[in-house]
Amino acid sequence: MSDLAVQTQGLTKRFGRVQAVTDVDLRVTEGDRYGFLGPNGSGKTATVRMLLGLVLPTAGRVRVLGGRVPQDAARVLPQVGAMVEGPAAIGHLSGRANLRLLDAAVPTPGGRRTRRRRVEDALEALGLAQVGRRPVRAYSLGMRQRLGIASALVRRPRLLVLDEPTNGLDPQGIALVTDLLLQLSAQGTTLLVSSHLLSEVEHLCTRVGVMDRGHLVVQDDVDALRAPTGRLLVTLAVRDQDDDDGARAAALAGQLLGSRLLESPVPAPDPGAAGVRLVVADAGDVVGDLVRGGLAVREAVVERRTLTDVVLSRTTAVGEGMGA
Amino acid sequence: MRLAALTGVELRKLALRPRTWVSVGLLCALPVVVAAFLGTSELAPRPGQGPAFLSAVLGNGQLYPAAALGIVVPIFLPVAVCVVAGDAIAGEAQAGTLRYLLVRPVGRTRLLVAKLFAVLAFTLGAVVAVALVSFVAGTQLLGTRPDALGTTTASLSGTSLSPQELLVRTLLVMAYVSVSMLGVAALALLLSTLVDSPLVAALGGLALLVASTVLVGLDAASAIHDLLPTRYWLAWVDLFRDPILWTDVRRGVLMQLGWAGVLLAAAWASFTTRDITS
Amino acid sequence: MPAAPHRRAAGLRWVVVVLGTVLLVTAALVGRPAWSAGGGDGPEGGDAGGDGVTRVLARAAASASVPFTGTATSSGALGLPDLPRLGDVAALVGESTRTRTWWAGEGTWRTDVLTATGERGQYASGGQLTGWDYERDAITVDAPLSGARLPRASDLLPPTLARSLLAGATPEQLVEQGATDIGERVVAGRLADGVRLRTTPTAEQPDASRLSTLDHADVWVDRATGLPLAVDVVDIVGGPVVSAAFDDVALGAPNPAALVVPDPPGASVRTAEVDVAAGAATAAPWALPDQLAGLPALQDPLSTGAVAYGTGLLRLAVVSLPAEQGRQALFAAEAAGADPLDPADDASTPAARTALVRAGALSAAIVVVPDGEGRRERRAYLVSGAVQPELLTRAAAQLVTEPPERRP
Repeated sequence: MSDLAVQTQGLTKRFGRVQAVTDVDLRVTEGDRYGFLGPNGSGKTATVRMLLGLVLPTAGRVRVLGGRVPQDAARVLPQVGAMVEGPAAIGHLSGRANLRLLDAAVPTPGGRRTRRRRVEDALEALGLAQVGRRPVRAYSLGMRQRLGIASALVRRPRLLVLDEPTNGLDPQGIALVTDLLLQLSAQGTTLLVSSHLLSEVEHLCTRVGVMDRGHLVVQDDVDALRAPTGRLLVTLAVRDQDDDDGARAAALAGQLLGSRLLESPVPAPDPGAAGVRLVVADAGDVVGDLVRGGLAVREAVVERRTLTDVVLSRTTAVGEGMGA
Repeated sequence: MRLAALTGVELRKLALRPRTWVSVGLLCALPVVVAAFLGTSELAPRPGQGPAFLSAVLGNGQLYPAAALGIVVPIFLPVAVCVVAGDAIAGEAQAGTLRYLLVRPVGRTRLLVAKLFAVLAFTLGAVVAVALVSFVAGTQLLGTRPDALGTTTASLSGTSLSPQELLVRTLLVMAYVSVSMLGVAALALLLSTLVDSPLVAALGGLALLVASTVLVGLDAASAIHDLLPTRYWLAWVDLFRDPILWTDVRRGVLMQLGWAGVLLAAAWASFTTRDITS
Repeated sequence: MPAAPHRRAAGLRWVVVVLGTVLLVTAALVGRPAWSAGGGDGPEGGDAGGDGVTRVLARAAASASVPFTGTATSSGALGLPDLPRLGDVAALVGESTRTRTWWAGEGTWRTDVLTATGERGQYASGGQLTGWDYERDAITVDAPLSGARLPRASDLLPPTLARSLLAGATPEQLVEQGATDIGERVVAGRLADGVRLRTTPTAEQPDASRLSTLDHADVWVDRATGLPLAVDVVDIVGGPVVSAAFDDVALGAPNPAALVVPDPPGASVRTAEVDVAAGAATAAPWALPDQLAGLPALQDPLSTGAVAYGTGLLRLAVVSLPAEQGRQALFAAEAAGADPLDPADDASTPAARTALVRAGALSAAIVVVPDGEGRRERRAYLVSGAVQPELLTRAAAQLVTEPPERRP
């Protein structure tokens, strides 16, 4: 399929005796904002490096933007911007000099002026245009991170592969980068963002893949993963939590809902106002039935799983570097 | 076209690097110091001892560029070249910039060749700098013979060399000395593709230099003398014989090309098939 | 799962690199194979047994007129002490020497001894030998080209060394002494026929092999021109005595410009020092015999005080020394711990004092004959060669007992 920006088949990598990646079938559609998740050591980085031709697969095939990697790397990689395992630059040169050198390493159509403007645009986009001649050595961690992203953007790539893009950024930096990525996505750039920060991916991405011990254990649209679970979470307002009022409301709800009540009502966790928490199968007019029965419904929410739930339920190496 | 652009980038990197200029400066400083001592003390090494030509340059500073190259050839020049060559790939790997070059994408073979050109350019530049600085130092500190204007410099065979001939031969020495560095440079470059530490790669090149120098001096190892890269390093002296003795110079060039060919081919095979995990 | 195709390409790359390396190393170590060597179209030799050997030896002996330009390496294994007036003989026969030669003919040539830091050239022309030493910045003039003298660098060139080994015997005699064909070999890129000279006993020298300290000498002769290209002399314990071979040689008339004696500006000019042998040759008052210990003289004993005797590999060199010089040499040798020659057999050298010095395959004896008992004046000799002391003893006995003639 030509609309796949990234496709791997049976991608496998062994480093000596260590099986880093096993039989991974990655599918990233053009226009996706793909979140590539997994704890440290799960094979994420090895997979990304294979996509970029840095690491050669032991077995399996890689197609990026319609070309094979590494065979067609010279054709497809110019349309890919990447930041892998942190930014890197020549310390004694300025950020601008670094980008210019890197851009000049592979000639592209357009003259020197075009190239310079491209570099300025990328620096501008990451808020680095005013840094001047300061050597990269004197940059803060966040500035280096932004320089790394700028470097990936210089070529205005169709596919942007970013490893931990918000690493080391302050909140403003994170907002800047997230906005920028959404903006690029809106312009049609396919994003492949690898991260161990679930919340970052959850906000940014439309699709996720989760690696665990070298296997791709989840690959789905975020919306599908977060589809309603078929349960409603209902909170009934009661006068006093400790009073009989609560027990009465719970009992009445049980009568009204019958088998739709899935769990025993519990006191609502909200400390501000007294209430009873119900877990109800989302069938029929639950709220209407309760209200008609004379109960005060303060809140009724369709239950959705969080990405954290999904990832934690599917991965084994929990807690090691994975956080919400 | 693509290679030229990349080579240009590599040369710019080399030129923008302070260390490059420090090492060239040190290379040039040594012959100047030697010239200063020779010029003030007028005590040249006894015949047959010390570097070639040093006894002859006292009377004629025009011969000093060749003598100065003779001074830096055994150790200082190869050290400087090994440091640059060892840094070529391993330095990029250590700094992390290698992966960004490769995903740009710079072809691996092309990158290796561009790095090689940069190392060669450094070698040639260092040799030219040493020759120019030592010419100035020689003529200023050692002076020319009073009758030196004209045809005065003697070749090793006792014949006179005109200034033009002297210039040509000095240029030949510069070319030969540069070519002589190919072997160790290629080894450092090969190691540079194998390890992620520029220091280790440079030391590997120097280990070859030292091992080869020891073995060349060991008659018991004569069976492999024809394989040792430093075997013909001193043959630049033959360029000052009259007529020029080309035998060893030719063998030295072939030797260096052979070593460079083998090691660079290995570097190419290694680098183009290697996983970049730095 | 199919193996990724680029894996196979990676393996192929290494195969190409390894194969190329093996080829290069082989080429560097083995050199050019025989079939690529030049000169194969010359006269046939080497493969025809005695006749072929005779022809090869005859061409080698007559090769002095073959012009060439080349570099050669010679090395000797004789540890001689550094003595005054010995020139660079000790270095020549004890170390490795690299030379570069332009040879137009026997009387016109130039040989440079190449060192890492300089050059010592010798230019032969017009019967004179001129020397140039770069490191001393000195020209040495007025050395006679011919006559008795110590060895010099040009004597250790493969052709001159081979010719001196062949001198004093006809090819037929050498074959009788055991010269054999040892096949062919490539030397300096040229195809050469090999002949091994031996000291096999003959009618004239029944105990030749017992008296020599040499086992054999191999001479490799260019098939196309007859120019000896390599010589290896090996002693009876199998060690090398002296060897010489061209590293590189071009046949044909040398560049005449290279033969012009240089006139370096500012160089000092000295007159050549008279070496021990040349001095003895002119100063010796007594003539040496025509035959010594059964060996024929190779020079006219009346014309020089330094004469070589022998045939094939069995050689003796005798120098008639001034008596006082001989006595000093004797004392010096005795002080250094030298024993008398054959102490058990006093009868052979009655009343003479002798001292034996050995260095590897080489033996030398100093013989001093005192005055008195009706004999003529005091005499002294230096007898040396790659021979057993027994032959020196025989020679010494003959020199002591046979009354010499005074030289004209």
